[in-house]
Amino acid sequence: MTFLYMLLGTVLSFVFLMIVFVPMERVFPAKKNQPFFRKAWVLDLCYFLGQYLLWGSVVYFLLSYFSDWLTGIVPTSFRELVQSQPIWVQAIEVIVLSDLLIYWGHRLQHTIPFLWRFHKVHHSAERLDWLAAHREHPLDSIYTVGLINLPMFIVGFPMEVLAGVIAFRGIWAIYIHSNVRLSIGPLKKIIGSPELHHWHHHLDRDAGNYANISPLMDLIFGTYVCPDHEPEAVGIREDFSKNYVGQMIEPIVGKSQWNKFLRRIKK
Amino acid sequence: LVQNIIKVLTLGFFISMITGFVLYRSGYFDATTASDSLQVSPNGGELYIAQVDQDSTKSPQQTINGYSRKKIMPSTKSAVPIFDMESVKQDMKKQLLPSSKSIAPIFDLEELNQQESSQEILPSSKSMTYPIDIKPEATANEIENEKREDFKKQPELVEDLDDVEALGELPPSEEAEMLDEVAETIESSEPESTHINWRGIWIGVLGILFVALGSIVYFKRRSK
Repeated sequence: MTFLYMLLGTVLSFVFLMIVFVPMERVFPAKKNQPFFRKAWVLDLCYFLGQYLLWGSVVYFLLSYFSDWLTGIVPTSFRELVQSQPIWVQAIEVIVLSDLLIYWGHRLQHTIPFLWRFHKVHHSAERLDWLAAHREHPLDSIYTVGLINLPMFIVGFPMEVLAGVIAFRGIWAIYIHSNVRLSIGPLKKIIGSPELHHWHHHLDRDAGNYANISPLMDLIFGTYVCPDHEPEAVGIREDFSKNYVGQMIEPIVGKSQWNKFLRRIKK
Repeated sequence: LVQNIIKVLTLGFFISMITGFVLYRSGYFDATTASDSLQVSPNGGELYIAQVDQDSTKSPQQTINGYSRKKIMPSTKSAVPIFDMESVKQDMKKQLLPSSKSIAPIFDLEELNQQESSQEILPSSKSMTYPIDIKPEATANEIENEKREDFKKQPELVEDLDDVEALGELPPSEEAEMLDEVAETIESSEPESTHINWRGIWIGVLGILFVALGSIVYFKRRSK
């Protein structure tokens, strides 16, 4: 029964996201000619289903495991002090700390070859929309989600008071990948938008715009990029597997090993 | 003009859906009477239950040997964990017959403590369906602990059953009847979740109007 419930939840989530994002993609399209069932739509659907039905639980378990020994790092008195602050102060602290961590963590993903091996799965999408946002290697998810949660694990921000921030961050991460171009004026320097994040997915590996919820970190560290048009192409320049299984295994075993394996199968 | 109206409506719809989702995940639409705070529960149900149910012995949502908290994709749509009566009956048979001392559901306090101490985490930055557990330090958990202590002080449930010497000695039909009664009692004690949060609805309606008006002004200025 549990699996059926999970399946139901997954279907409902899919429908909900479709209802929220498809009208926006129709009315404010970034790429006007991009159809709903575009190239690699099924592949991204596999990522969506994989994340909701399988990898989500694995990531949840691993984070639970690691959080146990991270929690004890900071003295209880300090955690209590943090929790005694007003909610809005805690919310700002969480956003700033998480954004700082994600910014540098993300930048490292683009710089360190080992991390890039996993992160390039996400960048391998050649068409961006709300579904492509879910294209992520599970180990890459653990890394990213671990960074998002780190301030809460270590400093002890109570999750219940920050639930709104967390929910907003989650759905905004999907929005910035959607095939939408909607100018928000000067606000785009405070809050992340698809027009900024699409440039992050440009073919160049160091294209900039590494921040997530707010581009402030990009502005501070000089990686803010905002041309007045959409990038002509997104994706990666490297040769990479085009199927789900290949994209799951190749980053783990390495390109040469994976190619050897493929050659053996063909023989 | 028609295009502008479509744009305004789409934008209004999008913003209201996002706002609704964020409020939902904050637990705002849980019609709680115990707390007026905006963020009652991170996953839309758990903390609300802990605060509203005053008597844990009557609350089917509390963990009863692990089978009451069925987190059906706790997130987008389900606010309250589902109580599977069939599994309750089956498990009761397993648990009660050997001891023959009590027909009341047994609360596994160790298990409750273990569940409570589970850390709060986000399984995925984009996941909408996984639960965000509450930290043991949280105030609501302290409330739950108090309730658990209160529960320990309630011997009536066991005393009532002392009259029944052993369930195993009862004829199968009577035994089944008794189990059904217990199941019904638990079912009927479910807290009412039908209370309508009018304040939330009004704020939502005003929010949508505000967004729509703002968008009209924005697009009018833009078209000029």
